[in-house]
Amino acid sequence: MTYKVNIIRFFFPVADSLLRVKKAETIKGLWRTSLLLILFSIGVYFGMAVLGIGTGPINDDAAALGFLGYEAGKLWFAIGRIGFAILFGLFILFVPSLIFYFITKIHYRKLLVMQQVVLAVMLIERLVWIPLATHAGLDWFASPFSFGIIAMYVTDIPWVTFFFGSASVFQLWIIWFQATFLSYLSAVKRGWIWTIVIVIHLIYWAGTATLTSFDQHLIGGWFA
Amino acid sequence: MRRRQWFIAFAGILLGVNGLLIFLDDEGEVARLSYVQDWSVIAEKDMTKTIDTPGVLTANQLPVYFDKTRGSFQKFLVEEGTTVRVGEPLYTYNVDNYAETKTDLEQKKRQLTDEIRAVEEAATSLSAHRIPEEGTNAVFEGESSNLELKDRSVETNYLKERDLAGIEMELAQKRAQLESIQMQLSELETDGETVTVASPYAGSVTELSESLDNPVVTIRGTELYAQGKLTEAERMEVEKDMPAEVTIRESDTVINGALGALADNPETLHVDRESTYSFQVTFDEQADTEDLLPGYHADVAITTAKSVDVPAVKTELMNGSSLWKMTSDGTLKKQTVKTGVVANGYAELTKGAEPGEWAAANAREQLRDGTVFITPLKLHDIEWKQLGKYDNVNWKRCILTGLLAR
Repeated sequence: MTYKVNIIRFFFPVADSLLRVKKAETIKGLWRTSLLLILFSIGVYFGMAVLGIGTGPINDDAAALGFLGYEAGKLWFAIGRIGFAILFGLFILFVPSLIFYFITKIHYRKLLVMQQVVLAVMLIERLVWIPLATHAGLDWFASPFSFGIIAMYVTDIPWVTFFFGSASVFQLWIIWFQATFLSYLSAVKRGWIWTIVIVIHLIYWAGTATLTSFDQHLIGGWFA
Repeated sequence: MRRRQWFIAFAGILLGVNGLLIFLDDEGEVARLSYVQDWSVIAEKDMTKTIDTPGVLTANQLPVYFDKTRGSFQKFLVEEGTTVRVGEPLYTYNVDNYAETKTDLEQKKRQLTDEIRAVEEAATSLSAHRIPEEGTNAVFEGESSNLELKDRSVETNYLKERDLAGIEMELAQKRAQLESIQMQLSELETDGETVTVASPYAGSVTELSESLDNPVVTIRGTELYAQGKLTEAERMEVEKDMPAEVTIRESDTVINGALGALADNPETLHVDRESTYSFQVTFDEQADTEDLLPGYHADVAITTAKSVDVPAVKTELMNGSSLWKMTSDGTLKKQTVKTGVVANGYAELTKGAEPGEWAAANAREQLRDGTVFITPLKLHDIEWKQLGKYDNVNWKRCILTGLLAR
């Protein structure tokens, strides 16, 4: 049978959708949904940039540039953000699916369906970050949905904070979702699948933490 | 299903714990940021604090007296409303006692001559008094500082001129009175009976007392003043010689002057009644009062304090006695400042901030000391037609930050 991709209907209920994906022979509407998701990603990130979220590092020139220059700088930032949004969307959609393909041998297209759901959830998490920043003054790693706050009480090391800040309830759900999806569609042992998914996420969080710790040094270094 | 409920419960607990941790965070363990929605730059302004009060143009009412003991009044030679010059005959009287009148007049003449001499001496000594030029000539970069030093002696010179002008007016009056007496004397000598009293002032006759109550003639002088009343609070803030600007309501003409007479006693003194103090604004020498008449209403603005070229910020940005400064390392700083003159919605900052720095507008609970600040993009601030202007903006850095920031 043919499975038509529909992210919203996917969740109601998850079990049914999983069954249908498993049984499907062809998947339709993948590209359209992927494109929509990329556009959604651009929308979310550009919106955040317009609100100024993430612009902290470029604010040190503010007064020196004057009002006009400052706003122009933020505009460039927003443009850079669009680039990030595209790369982010593409990465989340296609790279983990590739990795899982090599491990589980499930049809790539079906894995794409899974990653589309993952991307959608991650983008919703970013949407939640917006009011957290504008109304509660909390950056992404201090989201109350993550373990970042607890980490900040325990330690002062930024990297550790960023690492635990990346581990949010959204991420935990995604882990569960991917593990469930993969075990349902593949013959690989459940224990293995869970381990692999968790390890991949740990690497992902570590990578994020590293990038966040160093990107200011990197960028500053280039233009020092 | 049970798994889902567990998951939701877990998420809820996490949220609760985190919320509590944020709420109880007194030592800043949790990294925060400040969302600054509106901000403004600290400008360099001239701050003047003025008191605005209504006024009306008046001229002095100058009295001319008749000494009844000198003789019997004969008749008025002018009518109410007549304009008179100095020396114009006002009224005549018949001399009762020639000798007595003559001695009287001569005594008056001597007195006046003495007074005139004294005033003349005062005038010459004031004239001769040199205002010392400000000795120090500091070598600063800008030109404005040099100008400021010279300003002080210009102001003193101006006061000296004004005092001189006052003295000269007094002199002119006394000389006119002397003339009048002189005329009376000579008339007495020639005529023997009737004496004509001439006007010592220029102006227009406002009142003739038919019942011969003194003053028998009241002349309204030609010199205009602006007169008004100050409330108790206003009176405490003003001093004599403060500059004032008078705007005639109907014609929008603006005349500059200064506070001349300032009443030390209120019009009515009573515990239950408001105390109002009258004031007079004397116009500057070069003021053009030709087309103005007494009775015109005006708005008087008295400058009570003035600071030139000082850093000033809009008062709505002030947070008690501190400002939220957006510093050059991208963080918000709650800076205590000292204020000077507050006027027109701006507050002078005497300490704590420089012109050109940015201050964030108050938002409840959004601003935190020491945190990184973020601001929304204000597209209308960018001049789209002139994008090339922004070459000092490090656009590469901004794009890269956008690309790499998490």
